[in-house]
Amino acid sequence: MIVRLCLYLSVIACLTACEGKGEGGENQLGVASQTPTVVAVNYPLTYMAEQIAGDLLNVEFPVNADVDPAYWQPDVTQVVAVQQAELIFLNGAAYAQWIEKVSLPEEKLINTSAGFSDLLLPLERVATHTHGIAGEHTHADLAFTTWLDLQQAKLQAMAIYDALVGLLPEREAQLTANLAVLDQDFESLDQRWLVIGPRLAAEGVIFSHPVYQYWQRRYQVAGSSLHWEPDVEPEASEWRALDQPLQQKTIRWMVWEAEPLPVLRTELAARGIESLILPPVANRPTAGDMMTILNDATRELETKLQLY
Amino acid sequence: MSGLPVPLVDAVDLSFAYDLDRFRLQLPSLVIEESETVAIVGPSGCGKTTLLHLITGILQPQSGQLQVLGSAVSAMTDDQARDFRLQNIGMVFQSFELLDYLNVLDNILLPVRIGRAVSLSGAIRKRAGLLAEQMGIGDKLSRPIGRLSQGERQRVAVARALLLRPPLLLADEPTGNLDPANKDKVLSLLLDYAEQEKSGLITVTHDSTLLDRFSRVLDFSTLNQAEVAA
Amino acid sequence: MNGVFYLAWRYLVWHRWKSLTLTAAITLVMFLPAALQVLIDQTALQLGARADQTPLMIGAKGSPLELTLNSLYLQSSPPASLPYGEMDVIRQQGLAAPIPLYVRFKSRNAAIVGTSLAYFDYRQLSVASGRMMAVLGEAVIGAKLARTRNLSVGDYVLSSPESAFDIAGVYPLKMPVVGILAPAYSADDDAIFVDVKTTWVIEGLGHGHQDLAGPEAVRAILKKDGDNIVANASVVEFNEITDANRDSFHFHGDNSQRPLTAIIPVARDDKSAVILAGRYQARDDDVQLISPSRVMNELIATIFTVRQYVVAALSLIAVATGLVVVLVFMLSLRLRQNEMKTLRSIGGGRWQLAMLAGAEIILVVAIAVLLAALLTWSTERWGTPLVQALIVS
Repeated sequence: MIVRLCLYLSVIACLTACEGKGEGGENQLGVASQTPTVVAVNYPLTYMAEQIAGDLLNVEFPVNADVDPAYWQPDVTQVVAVQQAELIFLNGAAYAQWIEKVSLPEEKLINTSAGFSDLLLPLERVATHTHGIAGEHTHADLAFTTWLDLQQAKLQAMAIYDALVGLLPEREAQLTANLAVLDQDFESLDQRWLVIGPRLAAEGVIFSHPVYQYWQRRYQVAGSSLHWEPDVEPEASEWRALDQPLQQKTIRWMVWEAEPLPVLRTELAARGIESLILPPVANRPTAGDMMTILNDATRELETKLQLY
Repeated sequence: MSGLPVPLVDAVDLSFAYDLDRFRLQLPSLVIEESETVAIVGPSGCGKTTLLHLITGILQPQSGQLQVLGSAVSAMTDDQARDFRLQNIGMVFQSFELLDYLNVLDNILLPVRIGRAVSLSGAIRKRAGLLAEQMGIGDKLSRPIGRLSQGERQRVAVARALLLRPPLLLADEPTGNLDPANKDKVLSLLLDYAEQEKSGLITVTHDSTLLDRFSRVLDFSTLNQAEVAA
Repeated sequence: MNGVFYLAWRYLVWHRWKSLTLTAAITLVMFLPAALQVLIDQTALQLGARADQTPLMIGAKGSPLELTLNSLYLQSSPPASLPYGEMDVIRQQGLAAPIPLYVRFKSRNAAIVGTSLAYFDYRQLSVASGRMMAVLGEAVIGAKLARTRNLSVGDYVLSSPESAFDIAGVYPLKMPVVGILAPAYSADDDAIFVDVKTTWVIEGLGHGHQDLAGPEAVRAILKKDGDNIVANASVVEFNEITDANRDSFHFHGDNSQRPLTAIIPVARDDKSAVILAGRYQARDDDVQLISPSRVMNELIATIFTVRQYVVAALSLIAVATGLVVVLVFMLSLRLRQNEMKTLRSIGGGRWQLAMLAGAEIILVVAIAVLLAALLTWSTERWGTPLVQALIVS
């Protein structure tokens, strides 16, 4: 009988030892703990969410690396995955037009630029068309690279922070601390751009693509925009479109979204225009992150402008 | 009791009339002895059936005394008369008076179902089956009455009358609707029972060919003084 | 079995058609008022339940009943519309989470409900097969609609033109069915659910068309005026939203002005609901906030009034039926006079014979009562889905 009792106790002990944390992060109740997932429509918002939330969240950015997030069209599988997120961070300013063509839980949508929606800029030249009884109408009528004005970026980060505190109230202290670090980063860069901007304006600048409206406004950089791609040689007519304003004023700099073709640098140099690169970082870079990219680009600008 | 034989029927100064009718029955005296088989004859309306109803206690005389099997039926209440009738008298009718919504067995058992004096027991059921066998209808117990011949129906009626072994059988024109073969068969059943059980049999009949099978024949037209006076 | 009741039972079985007819007549006379009561109670319960689940409703000023019937029961013509911007007004107050409804269009006789994903959580609707709608143009349909039209995931539903003569109106939109809901035993079982933006496409407030800047649209262009391209009516507008053309779909005008037929404000708590109601009460514009429960209670009270008249009519019928039944029994007794005489002759007492005659009536009535009780219980037991199928849905 004693032997039998010992056997029973051994079995019970073994079973007890087998309990406790299981694989896959299960707690003692055997329930898998899940990290909440949030989705952002562009890389800057993704970066902000990652910086503020740290390891507390999975921040998903479903856009392929070779696609402009503003014009990305998700397939159904991707939309279904976005529907499952706890929060969906929108840029606002009609960015990510795919939002209008999908069904998302409205209570999870966070428009990060809602706080300054009255400051959004219309696009200068709008492609319109007229047909049917609706009359003339437009497509995509707001400038949407709001984060390039770093004060606006701070407001967008704050909107993200508010939403995350609502989601993880018990982590408010950690979120607040992280936001402060991010704010400081933005502020530092903002100060540097406040110096760069007027200098560029004074020496004459043109922009390769109309994506710098908010940057121009914040950092007081007057200048027109072309519709050039850094990896595409412009047509002759497009060169003529550049040459025309050159006859009226001096333009020393052209700001590109990415490294232009060598032939473009050469051609522009022949016209007395030097190329500068200020990536909008709308999509995730292959290396580094938003701040490293922008800081590196800023350093390059400062060097070129001899601001050191 | 002394064991002296009790008359089947002993009527003294019996007088009866229906309320709305002028018909009257007046019997100064009528005695039918034990074990007699009596045929009552007479023209229609002379009171034969009325006599049978008075004997069974269905009707009560206005005056006089009527004893049946030693019991004063004329002094009984309706309930007493019914119980007496159920236990002591078996009735066979000219038109059989079977219930078409019951089968053969249920018709035979009818007195027990409708009466309260005797309960439906296994012994009663067994007797019903035996009677049906004796009547030659033992294989038709579950058959509806409508599917029997005239002769078979009258035999069901006879079996019903004999179910409780009554000491007195009353038959009102029992062979009136039967063909000659069945007439003989049915009458034989009644007479055989009377002989075997030492019971009495009083039959009202118009059939003169059957009279010699009875021990006594009464001409009611001469017995009923009201008829004679009329 | 008691002798008298056995005889009565055999009598009833023998005269089975008469017995069945009498039983059926008496059963109906007893069952109909009871069933009516049960069904009306169930109807009131179902109508009331749907309204009770939706304590508040916001719509344009007008008939509260029309607003309730259109929004909750997806019936009746659509009320006047209110602007989508009212959703932001509600959100900004922080008292309730708004759910949009645009119930204007139909696919044959099935309502197309333009709403948001929050509606399904609110109504506790789950997908039985397929998935929830994800992109513009997709539809999720109710269980009963799927059954009656024999639709499954992958099939299509087509919106119906509002008028056969609406030649300048919107073409019907072909919508793929991506999900079928589990039965909800409500009006939702007969509906087609789409994103509210899809209903705006049906209305023509959004559309997709061939690229006017592309070569395939050359014939559709009337003129180019600077940056404005003027196209003629031959421009091809898509009547189905596919992966290939979804990119071309766009909306015109201000989002806040796009129409809704109702908004369901899901209040955070009772206090918020009261405050919200008070604020709408104080507003003096074209928007109203109603309590669907109150509206339906008034309607149900009307139904109960009608019921009284119906019950009165049924009572008269019951009296007439009763008289006929009594007549039938009396005739039956007359026909059985000879039988009674026989039974008396062979030993049946008056009381026994009365019981025999009475047993026929007692048995018929008892069976009728049992049947009526069984039918009434069945109506109560299965009346709910019946009501839901016939009345509520």
